Amino acid sequence: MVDTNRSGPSRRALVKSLGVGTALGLAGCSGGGGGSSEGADTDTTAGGESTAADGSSGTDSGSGETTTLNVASWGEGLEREIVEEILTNYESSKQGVEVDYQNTPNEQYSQNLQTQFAGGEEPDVFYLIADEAPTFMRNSALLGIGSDLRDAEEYDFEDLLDNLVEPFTYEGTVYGVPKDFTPVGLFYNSDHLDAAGVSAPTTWSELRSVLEAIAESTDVDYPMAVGSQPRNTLLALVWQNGGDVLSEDGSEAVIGSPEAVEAMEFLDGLVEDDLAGIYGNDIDATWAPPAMGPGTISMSMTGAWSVSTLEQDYADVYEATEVGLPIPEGGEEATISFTTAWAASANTDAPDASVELIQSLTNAEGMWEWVSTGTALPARQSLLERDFYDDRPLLSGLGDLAEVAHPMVFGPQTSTILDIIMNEAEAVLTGSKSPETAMTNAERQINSEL
Amino acid sequence: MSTPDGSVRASFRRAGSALRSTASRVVDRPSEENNLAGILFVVPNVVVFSVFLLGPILYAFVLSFQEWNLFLGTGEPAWTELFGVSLPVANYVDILQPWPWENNWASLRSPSFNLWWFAVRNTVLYTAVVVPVQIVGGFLVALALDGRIRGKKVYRAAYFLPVMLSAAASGVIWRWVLSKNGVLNEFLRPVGLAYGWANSPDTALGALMLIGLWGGIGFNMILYLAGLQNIPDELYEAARIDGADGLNRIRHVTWPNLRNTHFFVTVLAIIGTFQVFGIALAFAEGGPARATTTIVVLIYETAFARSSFGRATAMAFLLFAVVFVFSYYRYRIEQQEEVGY
Repeated sequence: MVDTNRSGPSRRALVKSLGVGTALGLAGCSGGGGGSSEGADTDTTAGGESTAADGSSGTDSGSGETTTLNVASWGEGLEREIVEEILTNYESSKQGVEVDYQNTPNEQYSQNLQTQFAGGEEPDVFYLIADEAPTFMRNSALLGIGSDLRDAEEYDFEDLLDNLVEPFTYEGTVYGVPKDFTPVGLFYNSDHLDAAGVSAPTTWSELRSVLEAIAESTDVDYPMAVGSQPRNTLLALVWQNGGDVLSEDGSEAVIGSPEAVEAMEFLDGLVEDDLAGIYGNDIDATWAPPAMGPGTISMSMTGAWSVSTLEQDYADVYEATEVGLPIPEGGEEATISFTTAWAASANTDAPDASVELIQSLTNAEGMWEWVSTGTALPARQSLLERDFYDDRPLLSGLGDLAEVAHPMVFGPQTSTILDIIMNEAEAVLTGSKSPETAMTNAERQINSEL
Repeated sequence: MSTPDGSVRASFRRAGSALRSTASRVVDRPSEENNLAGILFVVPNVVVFSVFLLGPILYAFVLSFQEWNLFLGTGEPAWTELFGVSLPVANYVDILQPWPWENNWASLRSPSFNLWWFAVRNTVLYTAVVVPVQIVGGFLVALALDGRIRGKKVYRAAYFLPVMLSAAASGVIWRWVLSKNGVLNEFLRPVGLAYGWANSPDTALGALMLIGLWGGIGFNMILYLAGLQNIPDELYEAARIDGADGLNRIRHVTWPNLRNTHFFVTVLAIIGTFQVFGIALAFAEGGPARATTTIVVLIYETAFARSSFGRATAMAFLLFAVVFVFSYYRYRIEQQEEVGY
């Protein structure tokens, strides 16, 4: 007997396809939505009060009970060792305080932290990168620590560099203490410049001439290298040329301005003429040391994070490397700075212990323990002035740029804004858009997000 | 004295009588105890399904109408005016507007106008190429490996190997092969054809399709091989007697008898390609210049890079709607073709 189709799509078919569609259609997506289903516990404990902990966090010490502080950061190798050492020292110097340290790879750190917040399982004390700070602060996710630290004995809050504290300040309250920073400068191999018979460039046009001379006189693959999403380069050029991302009051985007377009054109010109190669594409290396070290390139915009690797793995090139900052004729000195803070969760059960730990990590002694590795610069003026930097021209050269370095922070939409600009810049550098179209597009998209 | 046969018959009679009696009790007097027992058997499955699948899905559906604050764990309805009525559908409206035709289809040409429609374009292109080639490729490889060929187990394992590899590993391997200084260009450079296949917005999506095919053909091959084992030899014999040559046997015997396999493979392939994520993320992180940003990559970025969970869940339900429509119509077509005996 033939099974006739009695009433169009049968209920069974509908249910079956609904089942398949629901189970498989959402399988890849329910994690994102469902994963955030648990609301964060927004109850905060007043400073000094103790509450029973239902997670791994304990209570503030004082009554003989043990307080467990969950601490999170990224960083491998030396950075991890130093953080663990400071935490161990802190733990042994404080009775009744235990520290539980979680290390997350840098690439997953931000996502992991947000997911932890969504589930109410965030660490008490953690690394917070400057461009993500506005989102956290605006959403009351962080513990205000500025006044406690200002009042603390043996803690010189005023010594911290103001322009580095500013990204972690919201409506007058300080929510994070910068652990270090680095401005970005143009690292160049002076041996290659000597071989080409040119001196260090101080302007954009000189930079171009120097790159052309190096291309002719040396056997480098490319005289310079930039990222396909030029996060270390583009905005420095825009600022140097008098442009900006947002208007002064932050109400509208101005990245489509002639100054910004000119900056993008300059960078694109270098790539088009093979004076700059793209990391991970034209050049196998994805960052400066493995490209500069073997002599694949002569120069790159980079920061203090490259110094220790250059020093340890490519000693000869390290000796020959100098740092500068070419600017356009008539332009202004400006560059990008990257900074990360130690911050505490607003939901911590142990606010006092959290503040004390941040104090230990960011006082002159704690900060020096980390920055004396040469991987970053200290966020304290007194430490920047130490003799240590006299023998380290790369670090002191970067330190000289501190005053003209701006963090890439543009309010609560910072991540989105940077994402838009860098994707448009990538379209330019891969040849699928003109600089003017890309920057105008970026301005329109940012305005729609604002 | 009863024979062994007689004894067996008697046993069957007794068993049949007992079954009828039980059945009549069940049918005639469905007692509460029986309902309870049934419910108890089903409860574990219902609980697990509700807590781990249905609950999160329903919760995500609610979230898609909200502007969700990740840190406070609270959401406000995302209101917007639609047809003069205030409705909590701002996330859906923001995702879909401007409609592609409102900007002369620029959204489908460039990611700078509406990223959702550009991601839809990428996903549809990927699906349109990968699904048919994956299915036909899987079928042809299965046909070849179903015959009597030397070392067919080795070939089968080789074709299936990519399926066992994680998406992340596949993405990284293929990036290594297809990048400007990659393995492929070592062969192409001497003939002047070296190109940044993975690094150019013009070719990155094509490269992603290649990875999808590489993994998909082996998977479909296994399903088709299983289907081929179920076709009775008698049908081939009958076709031979009727004078059908090899191609006609494939066309009139093999292909129609694999109808259920075709259906299964097609539905899985469409769902899988619409949800392509792991290889796209590992291969090029949705780039360069958004060229490999598929719908699920965009959902992931919206949720975790931009912290817009409300908008991301709305995107997930739009994707669900698309997948549901495809699955539903595939079922309808299947049902219309179905012949019962």
